[in-house]
This record gives sequence, C-alpha cells and structure tokens, in this order.
Amino acid sequence: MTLSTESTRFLEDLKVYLLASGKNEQATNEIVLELEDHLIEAEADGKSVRSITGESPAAYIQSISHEMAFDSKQAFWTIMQVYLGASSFLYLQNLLNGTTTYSILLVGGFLLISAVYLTTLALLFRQDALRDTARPRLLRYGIHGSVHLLLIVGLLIVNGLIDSPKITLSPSVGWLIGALLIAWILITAWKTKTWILPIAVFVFFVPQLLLLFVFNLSEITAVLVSYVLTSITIAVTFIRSSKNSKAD
Amino acid sequence: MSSTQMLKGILDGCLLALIAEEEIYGYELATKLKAYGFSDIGEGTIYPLLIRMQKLGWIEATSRVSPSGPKRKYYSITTSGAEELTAFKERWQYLSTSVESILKEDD
Repeated sequence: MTLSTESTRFLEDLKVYLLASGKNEQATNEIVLELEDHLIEAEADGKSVRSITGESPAAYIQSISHEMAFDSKQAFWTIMQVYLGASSFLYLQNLLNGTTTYSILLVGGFLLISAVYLTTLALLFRQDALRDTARPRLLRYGIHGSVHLLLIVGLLIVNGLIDSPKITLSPSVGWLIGALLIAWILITAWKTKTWILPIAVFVFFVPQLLLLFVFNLSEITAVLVSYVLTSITIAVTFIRSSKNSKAD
Repeated sequence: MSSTQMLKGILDGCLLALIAEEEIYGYELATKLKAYGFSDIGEGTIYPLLIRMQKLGWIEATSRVSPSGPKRKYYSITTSGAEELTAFKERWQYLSTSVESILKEDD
C-alpha cells in the first residue's frame, strides 16, 4: 500500500532532520520504518498524518529527536569522509606534480573547513526539514557551497603567504598514502553504495594522465580538460540519481 | 496544569501496563490507549516515550515482518520494566487515594 504525499514527506523530513542532527543511522531508520508502518495502518483507517504528529509536525519531529542520543562516532567518521574525499583531489594532484610537502596550516585548515562545511550544511538540512513548504531552498545550498569553495581558495592563498611548520613526505611514502587514500575512497563508496567520489577521482585523473603522458599535452591543458570532464560527470550523476530517487 | 499535561505524566505507567499484558506494536498500542479513553493525546505521542523507555531498559523491541509491508517492531516488558510498573502502581494508588479523600471531603 502506498502512503499519501503528506505522510511520505513527513517521513522524509523526519529522516533528514534526525540524520542532520547526528543521530545514529540505524536508530533513525528504525523509527522511520516504525512510523511508516503506523501511517500505513492509520491511513487505511481513514486517518491523516496529523493523527501522529498533532497540529505541528515540526514540534513532533523535534520531540522524537530530543529522545535520541547524538552519535559522536558516526559524526566523526562523516567529517573524516568529507575531509579525505575533498582533500584527495588536492593530494593526488600534488602527487602527480611531484609535490609532497604539506604545511600544518593547510592540513589543519582543510580539516576545519570540512567540519564547518558539514555543521552548517546539517543546519540548513534541519531548517528545511522543519519548513511547511516542500521545496528545498536551492539558492541557499548554492551560496553555502560557494562560500566554502572560496574558503578553500582563501586557505590556499594564505598558505602561500604565511610560513608554518611543514611535513615533507618521501616519494615512496607519498605514493603509499596516495594508494591508501584511493583504497579508503573505494571502501567508503562500497560501504555507502555511493560511487560519485571514485567516479569523479577517476574522471579527473585518468584523462589527465593520458593527455600528459600519451598525447604529451601541457600540464595546464590536461588539468583544464580533466576539470571540465569531472564537472560534467558530477552534474550528470547528480541529475540521474535525483531522477532515480524521484522515480522510487 | 491542563488535562493533557496531567495525562502525559502518567502515560509511561499506562504504556508499561499495556506492554506487560502482551507483546504489542505501536499502532495497536495507540489504538488501545484511545479505547481506554486517552483520546486527547495524539497517537504519535507514544513513540518518543517508547524510545525513552527502551533507553531506560524498561522495555525491549523485536522486529518481525508485518502483513502491511515493512518490518514491525513488537515491544515486551523487561524485569526492570516490571519493577517500575509495580512502583508506578503503588505511586498511583497512593495518589488516587489521597485525591479521592480530598474530593470526598469537598462533597
């Protein structure tokens, strides 16, 4: 039996709010499934989603959230996932260019930006989940992403201007870390069943290597072509996955 | 204090009593509560309370496939839940006797 649009939206909002509040994923799925089961029976008996939530779905969602514990281990790994995912491009690009020196400022700054990015993104998701209208505020997500991209550019500029302690890796250690990073990306993608990052890494680096070493093009041309290809691939994957989730 | 707030204060004990009777799932529990006269309270009110009671170790849940589709969670009472229910019954007995005797005096 299919649920009404209102009930489906309530369950989606509940899930987004709980996950964005750092609640355990398994516990979140359990309560969402339990309420789905309740709503199926309630709708069959002619009741609406308000029979569960009362007059304010937002207040109800918060009352559920209040009883669930914050999963700090899960939050830590999510931050690490974003941090390593985002820094993998920079790291692997540097490795290809033969750079294996990193400043404390760059490594720490990147970690801080990843943590701020995720925390503020979670806040945006939480706000959207409690709103009355169904449409997400895409412009806000666009601005949010752009601000953090600018922060990364800013960090790279400041890192060039300010001297901070540096770690230099030997080429073999550098390649070993690169291999571990790729292994981490593949394992995480396999675990989360989300392949966008390995696809993006593949599209960014493989054509670049081909253009550099097979076609002997300049470094800047190879990077630019790879950048354009990666952007197109991410956009197409994103559109396809949103279409698939709508079809589900 | 509104009647809704007063009812919420004793809802924990009532849920424990219903779960102690038989293994039960959310919708069934909400329907039973309504049948006993708790019609002021939204059906969803029970879920935050069930989460809390699980955390306290008073009840436990087992998931089984339901006829309606997704897996269904059935609740049963634990030993510490049964102890809490006994304590609740004593508190309620004491409270209701006190209230009744005051109300009788008013008559």
